[in-house]
Amino acid sequence: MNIYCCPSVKNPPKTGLSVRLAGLCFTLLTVINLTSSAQEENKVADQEAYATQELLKAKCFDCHGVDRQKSGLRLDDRPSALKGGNSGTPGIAPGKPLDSAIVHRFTLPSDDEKTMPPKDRPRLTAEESLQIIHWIHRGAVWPSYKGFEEENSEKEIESVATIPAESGAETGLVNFSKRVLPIFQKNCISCHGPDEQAKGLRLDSVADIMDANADGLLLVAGKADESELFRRISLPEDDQEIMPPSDFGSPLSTADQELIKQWINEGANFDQQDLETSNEADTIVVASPVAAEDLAKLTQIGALAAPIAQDTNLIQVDFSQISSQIGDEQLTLLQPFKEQLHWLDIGGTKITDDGLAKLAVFPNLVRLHLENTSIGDNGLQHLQTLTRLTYLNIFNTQVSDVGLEHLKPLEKLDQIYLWKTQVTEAVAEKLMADRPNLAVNLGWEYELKKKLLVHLEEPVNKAVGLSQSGAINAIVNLVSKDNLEVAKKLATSAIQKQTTLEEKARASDEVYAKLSALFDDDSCCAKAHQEGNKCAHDCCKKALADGLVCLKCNPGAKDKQTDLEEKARASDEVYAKLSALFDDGSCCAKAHQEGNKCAHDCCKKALTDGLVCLKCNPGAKDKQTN
Amino acid sequence: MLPIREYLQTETRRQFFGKAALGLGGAALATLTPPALSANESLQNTGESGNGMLKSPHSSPNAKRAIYLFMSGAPSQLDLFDYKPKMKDWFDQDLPESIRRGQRLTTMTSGQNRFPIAPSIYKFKKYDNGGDGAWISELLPHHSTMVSDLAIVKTVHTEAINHDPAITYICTGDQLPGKPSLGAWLSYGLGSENEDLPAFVVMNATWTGRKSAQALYNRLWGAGFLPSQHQGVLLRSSGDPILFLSNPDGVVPQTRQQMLAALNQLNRKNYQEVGDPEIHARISQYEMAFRMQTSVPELTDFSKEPPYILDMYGPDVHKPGTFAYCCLMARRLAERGVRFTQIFHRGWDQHGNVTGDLPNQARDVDQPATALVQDLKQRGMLDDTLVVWGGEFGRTIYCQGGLSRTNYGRDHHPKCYTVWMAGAGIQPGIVHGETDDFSYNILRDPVHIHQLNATILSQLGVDHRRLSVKFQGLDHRLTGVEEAKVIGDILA
Repeated sequence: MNIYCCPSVKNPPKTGLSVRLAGLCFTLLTVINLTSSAQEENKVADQEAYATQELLKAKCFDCHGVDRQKSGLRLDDRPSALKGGNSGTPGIAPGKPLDSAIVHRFTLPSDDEKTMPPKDRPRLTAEESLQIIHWIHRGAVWPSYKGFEEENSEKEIESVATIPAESGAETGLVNFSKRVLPIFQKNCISCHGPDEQAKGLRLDSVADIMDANADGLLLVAGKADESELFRRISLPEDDQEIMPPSDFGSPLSTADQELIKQWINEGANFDQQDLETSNEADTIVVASPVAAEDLAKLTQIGALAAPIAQDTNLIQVDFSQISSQIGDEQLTLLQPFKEQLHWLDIGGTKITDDGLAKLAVFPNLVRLHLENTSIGDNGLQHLQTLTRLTYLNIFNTQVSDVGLEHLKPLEKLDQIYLWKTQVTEAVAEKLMADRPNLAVNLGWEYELKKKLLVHLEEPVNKAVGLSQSGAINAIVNLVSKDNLEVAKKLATSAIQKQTTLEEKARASDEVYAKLSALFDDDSCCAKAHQEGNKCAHDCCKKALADGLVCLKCNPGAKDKQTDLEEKARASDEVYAKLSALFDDGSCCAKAHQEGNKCAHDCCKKALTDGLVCLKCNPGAKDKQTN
Repeated sequence: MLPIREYLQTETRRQFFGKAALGLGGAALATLTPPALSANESLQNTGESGNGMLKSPHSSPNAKRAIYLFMSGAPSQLDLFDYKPKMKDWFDQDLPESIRRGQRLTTMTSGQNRFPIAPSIYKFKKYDNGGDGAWISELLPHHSTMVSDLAIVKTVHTEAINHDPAITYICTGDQLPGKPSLGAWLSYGLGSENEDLPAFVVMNATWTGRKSAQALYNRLWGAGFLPSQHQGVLLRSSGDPILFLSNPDGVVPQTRQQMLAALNQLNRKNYQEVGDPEIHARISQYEMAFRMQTSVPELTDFSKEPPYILDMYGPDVHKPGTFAYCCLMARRLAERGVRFTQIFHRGWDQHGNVTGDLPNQARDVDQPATALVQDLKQRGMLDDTLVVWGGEFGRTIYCQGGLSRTNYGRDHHPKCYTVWMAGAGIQPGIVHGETDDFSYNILRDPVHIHQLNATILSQLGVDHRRLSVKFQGLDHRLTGVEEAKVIGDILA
């Protein structure tokens, strides 16, 4: 519990403070040591929170509250208080009274010009000072600060410590969130806010404003006079284009106009904290430009590697035009761009699952092209750290349902391309339902099928492959002319045609599987088979098409094949005999008349056993026994 | 200007370019060597010379490339996208003067005694686009399946009322010939992503509507006063895709290469003496042509396209030169990093016989254009490829020539027409702007063609106000002198 003692005080805001506070610290230490359990501590903290808030309200909020923020400091809400005023020092540093500006100021001698409250106001008593210090030490719990409980106070302390001093604080630049945003919120957001977005414009958050300024016309940094926003608010009152419109409210006060003008002229910047809280991926700020020689290493091998735009240090690297020369090893060339790599295209390259591990270290990567590569599920696990990723293209890869699990931590992902992967429709559709902000692309046929389904219902439900059958054009035409009946029929027959084709392909695959067992070791056919191909020799192709093995290339297969043929013949003979036993009009008899075998499971099983299905051909019982 | 001053200025310029020529000449030699022989050298240099004037876009681009499906002759917005149901009751009634308001007409109809209204005979249906819905005519059944990907802008307008000035205007930003085309500006500003293909490729598709179509001119894809290597390269559909690209019989590539290297040396020498930047252009065009001797045959070989992709673009895809063929080619060009592809499809000038010709024209483009957008989309490319469909102006609600219940003609109409855009940061599934019941005047959200061009540039990360070239005492830019605003409302 002895966590607070003078030697641990580092970098006090002003020398001498620690000496002045030594007495107070000692008292404090005693108080803390007296508290026995954590539970009791929480209770004390709660009471303290309210008591301290009252105290601050009485002593500070007049000048550092909602109405006035002298020196840019506001103490009535926690984030502002933590951030501090123009001095750049946190007003309140939770857990660290000695680093808190307010402690520093109220412990100054009463005749010091900088003491707080100011000389003409009553000073804090020793008890009051102690109360505030104690409260800050315990984490500066805010009664109105929601969600504080969930946050680990240690984490909080750490993060506060690393908040950089507000940029421009020393020079007194207009702070957007404290001074400009409130003007927008008061005057603009009834039409340009969450409820209504006139002309698609929202002015209630940094992200929306940056969005609206995508074309750079709304706010021209440094040039208020060229900025549409300033032009509209500074028009004469009777101008049709003035904002707020005359029937919605009065024009902005001259002071507000001037403030906005100054803010735009100073560069229309949003401060660091606004950027951090904004969820826009393109607000990533990277301070350092890349080294030209590092980029040159990429351009030398023919990759496209360049800053994304003139106004950013973020870069794009695109290997797609030299993809055949690129594998895992070239990815090491990306290492110098840890911070800056923003878009990466390694589509069509020879990268592997293991190679993707090298991508785990790029926190600012937002677009990633991995399409047309051999990567699979294992590769995707390396992407879990790319939390800023918004675009992921893995079309035509080996990724399956399992792989998608790895992408769960990628909360900002808003586009994923899954056409020609192993991902099943069911899993993809679940993903769509679970993450409505994620656009999941399963390819054109899938999308078309969903659209036609509205009109055609059942037939197109299985319609993947419609375009292969060449019917899609006609179906789309018929649907657009409301000729749904014909379209349905066409779709049904197209699907049947497609199914037959697929079955034939499957059947021939089965035959091939059987035949491949007969290949001689090391024959051309066996070699091709090992590589996952079929032998390209004309003789072998012809033989396979006939359901045979080429005996010229596989002389050893002769005997085995004869056995097989005999078996097949034998089974044909058996069937011929059995077919004589079918009942007239039974399913088996009908199929037999059409030159097929009955497709019922029961019948098929019976036939392989050399019997007739008695369920379907009850009359065959006697004959069969005979 | 004093002649002596002019001379001194030229001299300075000459010296400046003379220095540059040394660098470029080196690049020229290196790039002429096939990559297989000295990959490092050649690429080292192309990395430098391949970039556009801007090096990087002004701002983070939504589009890395764009494809412009240009419907030359002006498609009838009234029979395709701009549904005007009230016109049914106006059949053969005169266009009210309150609508025309003295609007200038072409000489083809200005002499007509009356301007009888010709309602579209085609059925329209409203399709779900994820928002308020979009009306599409039965002439574009395939388009109806992709309205959720399109931003349909119904209120594009222009000043020109005849084809030549109008098409020159929208393609080059000026009605007078001589200005650089949109693609040339993009090539100049952003350069190429693929050293083996031009940054700007043009295709002229065949068409099946009205046979006597408006002519096209090189200036529509010309470089104007920009260096001429930025002009569009025309990809032909029959014979050699690019003229004079193949080596003459009996000339082996090595001979060709030696010849070009020597020629480049001569050009360089000449350049140092005269300092004409066009010699630069010539050197780089020879280089490009040499590299295209290998890249183009690979580009135009569709044999590895699977049948289901060919089917997607429709049966015409098998006929070189059709719009379907060009659309598939456009996708392949986009995949290969070509910055800007423009397909011109002629035959949309239906002064008469709308119902005879328009369905054919629509059929030419409907399935292929849809397939292009959808094919790009399923490959994840629509996200950074901008697709634009449109012509140089619209057509009138009143009939030109004889009007019957089954047929009619339509004259040129510059005051409103429909263009659609898709992909690359364009908001999908919206219809922008509204025209009056006659599709004659704009009621809401007009979009000037300069704005359209400004928006295309902006999606590619280029601020149209800041991409300019000094010529004849003026900072020329694609979007002209007056302010042209990007169409903010259609951006996602």
